[in-house]
Amino acid sequence: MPRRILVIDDEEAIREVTQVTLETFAGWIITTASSGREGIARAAQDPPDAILLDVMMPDMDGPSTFKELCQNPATRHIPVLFLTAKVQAADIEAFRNLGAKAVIAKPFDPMSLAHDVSKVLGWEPEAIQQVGGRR
Amino acid sequence: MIEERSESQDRLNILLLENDPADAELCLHELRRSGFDFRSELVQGQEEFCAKIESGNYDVILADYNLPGWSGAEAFEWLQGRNRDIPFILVTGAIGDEIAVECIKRGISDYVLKDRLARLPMAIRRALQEKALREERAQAERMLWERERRFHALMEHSADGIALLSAEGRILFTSHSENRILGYTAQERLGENALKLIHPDDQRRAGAIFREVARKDRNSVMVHLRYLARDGSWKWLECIATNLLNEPTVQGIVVNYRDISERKRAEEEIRRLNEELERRALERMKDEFVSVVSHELRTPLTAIRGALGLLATGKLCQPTQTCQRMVAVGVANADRLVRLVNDILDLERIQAGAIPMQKKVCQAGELMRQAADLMQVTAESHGVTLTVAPYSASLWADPDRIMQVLINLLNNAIKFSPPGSTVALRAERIDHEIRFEVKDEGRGIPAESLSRIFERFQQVDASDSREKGGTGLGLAICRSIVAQHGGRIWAESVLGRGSTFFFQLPEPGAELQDACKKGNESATQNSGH
Repeated sequence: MPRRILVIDDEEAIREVTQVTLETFAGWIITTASSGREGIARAAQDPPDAILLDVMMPDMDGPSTFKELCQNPATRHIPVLFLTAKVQAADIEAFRNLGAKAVIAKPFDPMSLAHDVSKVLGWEPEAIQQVGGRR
Repeated sequence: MIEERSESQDRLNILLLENDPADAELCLHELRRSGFDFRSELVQGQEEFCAKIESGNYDVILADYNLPGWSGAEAFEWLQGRNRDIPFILVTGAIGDEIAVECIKRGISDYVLKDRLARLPMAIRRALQEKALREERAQAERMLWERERRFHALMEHSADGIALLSAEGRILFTSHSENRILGYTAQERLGENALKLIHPDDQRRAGAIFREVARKDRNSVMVHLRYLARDGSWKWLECIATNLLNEPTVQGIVVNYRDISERKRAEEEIRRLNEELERRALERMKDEFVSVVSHELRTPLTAIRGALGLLATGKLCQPTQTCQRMVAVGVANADRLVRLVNDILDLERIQAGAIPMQKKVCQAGELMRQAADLMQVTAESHGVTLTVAPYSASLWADPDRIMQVLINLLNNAIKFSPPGSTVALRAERIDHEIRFEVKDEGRGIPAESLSRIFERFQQVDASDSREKGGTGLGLAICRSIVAQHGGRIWAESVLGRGSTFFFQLPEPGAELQDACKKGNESATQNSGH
């Protein structure tokens, strides 16, 4: 049974690249949501194995979305990884303190994204298809 | 005015000093005949005369010149000595002209010969009129004096200072307030040039304004300037200079001035606060800008880099060789753009102090080893040998940031080293500072470039950023980080033989040495487990 990941990001291009990357290299099943609100609804309806959550989104940002996910008994067990363009040490520290599993900096390398996510979540690396890449 | 002679009644009060009652009666008769309304008393001797004067209130004294034992002139002298202004007329038999002139000179109102008594009424009237005039003048003088006194009091108690200057600026007069405002006494600067003690920065302007005032009659100009007070401090004065050189009663340039040092200080404070507010607003705008740029640039870059990265893997389609090469160019340049954005944001934020250095006790040797480990792969790919000299010393620094500096310097050294050469990292303690040194055997840096390579976008060769993948900001970031640690960074180079980059950090202070020691101990204990 392949892993299921929910990607919450307001940028369509990022959603698409992330989806193709993870589907291609890890073979996971990816669903996407374009806002925090939509993401919370999807996660509650059909809880994924992990959530990749963008930090800066209009209306409801990543930290607010994360807090709400934590408050909902249906979603509070789902590990959340922040995807952020804010990569200052202080910012990363703040996200960790919120209880996020990890903080992945944008832009990310598609070759290593699936590997990084697996490593953080303790998923077996064999699941990731090793592709001869540049790095 | 004659009517004022007696306050209670219009009757004239006459004192007669005469030893011959018949002569006295003749006088009184003459007065009655002329219609005088009067009362009279007759005294003969000196004591009696004096007693009457002390006790009575007389409008006029008629006195004989020749009296037994003394004279009318002596009686008048006595009266003058008592400071009594009572019209005094000598009524006398023949006296010489010389005596008469002498008496008038001394202030006796008039003299009337006994055989010309018809003149007496007129002499009395004139004497009374003269006295009234004298009183009027005295009153006017009193008023004038009073006014002058008030004027002086005003000048003395005025908060403003007043100075009178000549056309050349010499001090002709200063009011007493100068003492309060500037500390000089009113007298001590008379004759000096007033412009002499103006602040050097205000001299030229004040001189030009003074000449402008002096040029034209009635010209008036206001100026703010700093003036040296007696205690050596500079006072801000607001001066209004008015040209009254042609005004006969003044004949000078009048300068009214007041101390506005407090006001200037307040204005300065307001200006400073405004600047501070502006600076903060700018800083906030800059922070917002940095944040927006950070997000807005990284988001499309993430998509571009991700999409190109996917293509480069060849997993999505089978590209031709040219296509692969083009995708590789895209990936490399997207990476370069990411580095550039990161470096710009990093530099801005370090310089603005927005990133506080997370200083802690750390081991210099450990940081050096870690940095070298991280750069080992890069060194190998360039065919460069990387060496680290073992070193042990404690640092009070942000280890991540110092690592960033070391990696940056090592990366530069490796990039510019020919294959087969060595890059050496070492450190030593010099004058209570720890000096790090990254030495390469590369092409070297021209002397004229050495001073500016730590500036932004100041690579030795413009093509470096393309060929070597640098952003032109690495050394600027290094300098900012080292500066935030209170240290300095510099480079030495010999063309064709290589360069050495140094940075030096202050040793931890005495109070931190203990903390460092403890840090060492716990590090040792930890490694023992």
